Amino acid sequence: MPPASRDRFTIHSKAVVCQDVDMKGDITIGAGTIVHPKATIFAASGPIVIGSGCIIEEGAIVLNRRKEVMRIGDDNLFEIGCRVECPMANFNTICTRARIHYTTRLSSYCVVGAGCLVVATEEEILDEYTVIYGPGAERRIWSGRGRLQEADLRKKHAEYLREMLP
Amino acid sequence: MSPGVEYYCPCQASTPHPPQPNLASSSYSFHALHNLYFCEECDAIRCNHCVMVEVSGYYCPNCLFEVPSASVRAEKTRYQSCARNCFMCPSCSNTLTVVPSDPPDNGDERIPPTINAAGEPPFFLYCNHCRWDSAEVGITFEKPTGLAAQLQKFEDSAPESLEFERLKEHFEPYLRASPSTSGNGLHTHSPHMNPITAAASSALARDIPGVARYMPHALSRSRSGRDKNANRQEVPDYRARVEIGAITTGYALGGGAEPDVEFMRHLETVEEVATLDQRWGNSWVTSPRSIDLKPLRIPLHSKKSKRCPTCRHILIKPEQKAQSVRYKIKLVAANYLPAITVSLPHMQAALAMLRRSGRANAEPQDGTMLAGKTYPFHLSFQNPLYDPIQVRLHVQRAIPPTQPNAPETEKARRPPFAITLPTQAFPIAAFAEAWEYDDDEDMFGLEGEGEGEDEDFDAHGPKDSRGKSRTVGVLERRANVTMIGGEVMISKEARGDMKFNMLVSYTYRSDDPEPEEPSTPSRSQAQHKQPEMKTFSFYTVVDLGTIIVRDTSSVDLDS
Ligand SMILES: [Zn+2]
Ligand SMILES: [Zn+2]
Ligand SMILES: [Zn+2]
Ligand SMILES: [Zn+2]
Ligand SMILES: [Zn+2]
Repeated sequence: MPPASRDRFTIHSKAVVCQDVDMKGDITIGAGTIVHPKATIFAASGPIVIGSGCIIEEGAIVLNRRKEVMRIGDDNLFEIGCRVECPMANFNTICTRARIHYTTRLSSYCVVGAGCLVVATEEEILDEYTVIYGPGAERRIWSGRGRLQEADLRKKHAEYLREMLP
Repeated sequence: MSPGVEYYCPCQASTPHPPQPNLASSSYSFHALHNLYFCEECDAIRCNHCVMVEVSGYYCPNCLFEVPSASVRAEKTRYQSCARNCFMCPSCSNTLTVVPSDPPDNGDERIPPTINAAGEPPFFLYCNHCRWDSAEVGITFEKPTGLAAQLQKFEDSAPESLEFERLKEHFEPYLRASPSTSGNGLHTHSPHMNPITAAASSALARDIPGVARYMPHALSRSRSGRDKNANRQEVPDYRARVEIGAITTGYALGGGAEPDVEFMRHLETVEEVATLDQRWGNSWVTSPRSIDLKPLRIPLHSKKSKRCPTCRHILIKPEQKAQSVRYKIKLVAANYLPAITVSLPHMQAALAMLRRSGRANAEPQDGTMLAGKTYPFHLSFQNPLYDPIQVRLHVQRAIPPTQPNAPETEKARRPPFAITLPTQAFPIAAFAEAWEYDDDEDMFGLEGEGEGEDEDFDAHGPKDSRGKSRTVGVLERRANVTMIGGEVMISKEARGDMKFNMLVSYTYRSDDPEPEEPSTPSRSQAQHKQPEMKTFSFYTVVDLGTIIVRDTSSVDLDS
């Protein structure tokens, strides 16, 4: 077991962290980020730093097993029940019940499809616009067409949640 | 294979008796109960091989738009896919959505781009799942509606498509001249009554001088049921506009020639090659490169009604609406025949023991039994009728599989196993909705008036009156389910699957007494005084599993 690191939460005043969120360790959450109830953020070893505009839905698990800081960029969407153990840049989408192992890193605009399991045997950085989908976790590169509309939708999604969540 | 019971439809045979279950061909005549229909008019089981199928409507499985049958038929083969906006992703086979383009990027993340509510042209097809989009293969649209029509222009100019058009024109006069049975949308699969089958079999027996010659008859067979020998010489030979080789080997990928080899040589990842799944649905020659995959049209589905081949009464008819999953008429066999399930108590005990000892992964093979031993088995009968029934079982004598090389000894000719089943009729209580049971007495108080026959039938389970062990006989009666026990004795030489044919006869009270029909041999008036009692008999095959020879199984246990 890693030494029990003391809890230290740094949460931006414009972030929304609901009640019933399970947080442990050294965690920083940026402006406009929304953490739904029943989500888990667990800085087991090193700290976790989450940027702005991210949405972390119910039952999602964000876990840092490593000593170094795990940085999650801006505007990432973690859907219901996904499990993320890796750092990433911006505008990534981790779909429902997808799991990403700590050996992987995401750049930006990646999509990990529903239920996909990403376990790299060696350290791996996914290129921008990588899409992982289907039961076999197949990969392709998205053209990026529709990116601005999606970003706009993500912003509206976050705005709506900020207004509606208690 | 796990133990199971299947029901016999006699349509494939000339006798009412089923083929021996150890024959490979017999499986064609036996069906799961839920696949069978029952014609009340003929009092007979009907299966999907013998019913007449009629299309009662076409619809798109994606947008549920109903396409009039007339227009599907008029367009012959072309528009049998959704003519609206429905397409499938060629990469992952998800459905595609039409999306507008992004607004021009102002290059600054801080200032959000202004997004036009009506959408920015050009529009393209986009997969929400794998993020494939049709702009990758150069397909974009000016308007977000009527995509199929917009795509049609591309497709029509393809050389294969032009060739197909010409081919259709060539045969048009011939097709129009022939009296069409496809006009009423009726397709039959029955061997008893079908001129199409006869035409097909004679066509197969004929010499095929060349593909060009063969084609007209191939078409005529599917379009019309007439005797094709009559007009055989009328159709002139067809000359192709383009030689097939010119399309594929000359310049295009996918012909299996030089360009393909070149492409394969320079592969870097497997993903560059389109998988067989991805290319399977295409009509024409397609490029092997995954980056060339085009959006796929969604083929229409149809709703079908089925008729009895003998009396033409409808057996099943869905509601017309594409959104509805209900049926107007539904005469399924499960509402007429008792549902039979088989279980092997020794297997269940073994499984339970394994699970208790925490070795759940070490489950033995389903339904395996050792040669030279005797096993009990259970058959449970569930009555779907609102009246109690009497059931009598009879095992068809098994003939051992004849092995061509085995010497014809006396031993080899003996049946490999013997089945013991209760010989007396046993009752099953009526089906009742759950709320109809007031108390337990009701469930058991129903018998007593129906069993007019001389049988010394015993409603209260097995007794040792005939010295039989308790494993054979009625074991349990609960609501409309009766479970009986049987026994199988496997000889030392037995091998293979333990399947036997079982004749099930049940006597029930008929609502409306009809005159006896001599044409249905499986049905006869019950031979006693009360005329409203009737008996229906049907064959089933019971599969108890595979016989294992003892010494090989001990090897299995050691390993
Ligand atoms: Zn038939
Ligand atoms: Zn049949
Ligand atoms: Zn459609
Ligand atoms: Zn797709
Ligand atoms: Zn009928």
